[in-house]
Amino acid sequence: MDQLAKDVRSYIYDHFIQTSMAPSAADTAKALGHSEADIEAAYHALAEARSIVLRPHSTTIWMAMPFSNVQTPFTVISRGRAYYANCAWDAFGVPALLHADARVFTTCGDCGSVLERKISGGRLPETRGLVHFAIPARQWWDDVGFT
Amino acid sequence: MPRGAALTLDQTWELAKLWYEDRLDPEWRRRTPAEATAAFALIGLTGEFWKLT
Repeated sequence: MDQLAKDVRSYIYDHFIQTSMAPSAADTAKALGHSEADIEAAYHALAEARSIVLRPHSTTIWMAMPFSNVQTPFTVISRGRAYYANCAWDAFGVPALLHADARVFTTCGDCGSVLERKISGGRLPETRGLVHFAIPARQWWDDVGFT
Repeated sequence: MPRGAALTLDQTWELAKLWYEDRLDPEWRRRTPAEATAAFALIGLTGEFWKLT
């Protein structure tokens, strides 16, 4: 990964953390002082390397794992902000990435009731529940949105 | 849909830490399939379902 791609990747995460949303290529170009074309190329390189996921046929960021740039059933509250995560693994990934306490909200896949689990001091005080992984690891990237 | 795998929340939290706690490192790079498979094994996630190689 070249230095521009590294800088772009860091900026994408900073932007997600500060705003709960991904930056557009124009936002990143302005912030880093590069042309939009250079940033779009970096976005594609990061997507090719599976560091981020773009919406199909676009340079709009869909995911910078664990963050989602679209609404999902996994909401994470941490450091006074709400974030969408891509899945249950990624919902816990937000406090892991931030090294911060968090409240994770979703609904039970069995009964539909609202579930809240806390991460506090790097620990999970309430451990009732199971997370179902439907897709074997080798196939995760066949359709990462479905995964 | 295949049956898949079920993880406890403790296992999912361990997996999340393993996968994401270094993600903000500017020098972060994605694990190779062999590295990822080995990392899963460190927290007890073994077997055909978790193999990437």
